[in-house]
Amino acid sequence: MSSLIKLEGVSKSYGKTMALSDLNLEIKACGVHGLLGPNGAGKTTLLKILSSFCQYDSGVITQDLENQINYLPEIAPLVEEVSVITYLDFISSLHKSNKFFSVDEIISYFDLKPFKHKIIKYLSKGNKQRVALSQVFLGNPKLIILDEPNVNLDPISIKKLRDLIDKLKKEISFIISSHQLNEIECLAEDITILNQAKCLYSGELSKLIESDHSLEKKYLELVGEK
Amino acid sequence: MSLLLFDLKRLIKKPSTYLFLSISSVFISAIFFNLYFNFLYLFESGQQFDSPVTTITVSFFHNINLLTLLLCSLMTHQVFSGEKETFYHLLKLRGVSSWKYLLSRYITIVVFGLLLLVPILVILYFLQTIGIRDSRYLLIGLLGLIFQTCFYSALCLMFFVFFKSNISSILASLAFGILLNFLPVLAINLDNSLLFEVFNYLSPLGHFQTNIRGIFKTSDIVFYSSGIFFFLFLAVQKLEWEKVR
Repeated sequence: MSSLIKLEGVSKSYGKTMALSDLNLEIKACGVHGLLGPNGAGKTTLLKILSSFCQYDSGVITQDLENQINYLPEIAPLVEEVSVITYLDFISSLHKSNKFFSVDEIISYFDLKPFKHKIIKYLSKGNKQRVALSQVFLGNPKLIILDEPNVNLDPISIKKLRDLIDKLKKEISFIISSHQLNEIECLAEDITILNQAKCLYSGELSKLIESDHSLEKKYLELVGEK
Repeated sequence: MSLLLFDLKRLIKKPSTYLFLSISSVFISAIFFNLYFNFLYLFESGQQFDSPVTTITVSFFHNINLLTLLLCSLMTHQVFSGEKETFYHLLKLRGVSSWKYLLSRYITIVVFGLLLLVPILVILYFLQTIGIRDSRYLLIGLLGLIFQTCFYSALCLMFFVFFKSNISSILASLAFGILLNFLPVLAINLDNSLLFEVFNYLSPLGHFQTNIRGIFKTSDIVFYSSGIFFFLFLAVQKLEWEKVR
């Protein structure tokens, strides 16, 4: 499968603190790429670099995805003063067309219909996260980056999101950063494990997990936990 | 829906916007009526004025200048408060340029800034009815005030882009605005006529003082437009610099 993004020897530091060191990584044109690592491993920095919000110090990134990356950061980019429908209509208007869902369709998919005229500020945390997730699927993305997408979601919404990713991964790429190993194990074909700014593993998930290992066991082994 | 329309909608939905508009209207009216009754008292106690209504108008515009700066900085705060940094990132990812983003913010601030001038229009209408001799003072004074609002809005926007904290942005824009206004005073103390000319040209107060005397020159338009462009340009540069940091 052709690669969508290729990182070669990418490094980034904040002052004296190394955030990423000599990272090599390849994101395939379709499928799910899981990103794992303990807190402070450099996952968010990597996602920021991939979405062009952070300049890297050295290395090469090969990609051609102008305006085709949709990103859900840890802090959801919501505008809390407006209603759900106004917000999603606005996000939709930033694109020429919506490839996968119209605004009404995504509202129905994430069960936001009863709240669509409510001001975002007054929604529960879970519903806010569902609005934030909805905006990610609008437009015509080739790559969707999700940073901890399951935060505050109930099990039904988690399943819906998982089903949706499963359905769309045939056409587009996903990069999912999460601490929920079972979720990554369930969805991803490829994974990257980071620890202390260094890449411990990047490649196919099936190659990492041998028949007698679970991802959790292998992950703990790699990051040095007994 | 354009970004500008979305920004306007967002500001309209904020209850604090209405509170802010009401309080500022009260302030503007209080300044005017304080002046008006002061003049009325002086007039009744026998003091002679060449043209009392024109004197009130000129004094009113003079007094309102720094208030415009304060109101613009508070209105800019209204626009930026509650906005998450990640929303700007979202806009950039979806192809919204820094210029488009800032111009939308700028026009929103100016639109609401001009709404603040509504009570002034009522006051001007009142002055018209009580008999101003030369309405040039009213119209050109008002035009000057509109240009001042546009100028201060750009200045405040620049500081809100430069500083992360809203309070620091308000204080910095007020301090810089006041410094610009009092540049000619500094030049007088330096006793240098060339410096005085330059400082007087760079001071919005210098231009506004000519406007409130019923004179509007091309140099005023050049000053206001280049000032607005300069502040917006610096703000865009800051956003672009942040992106590659």
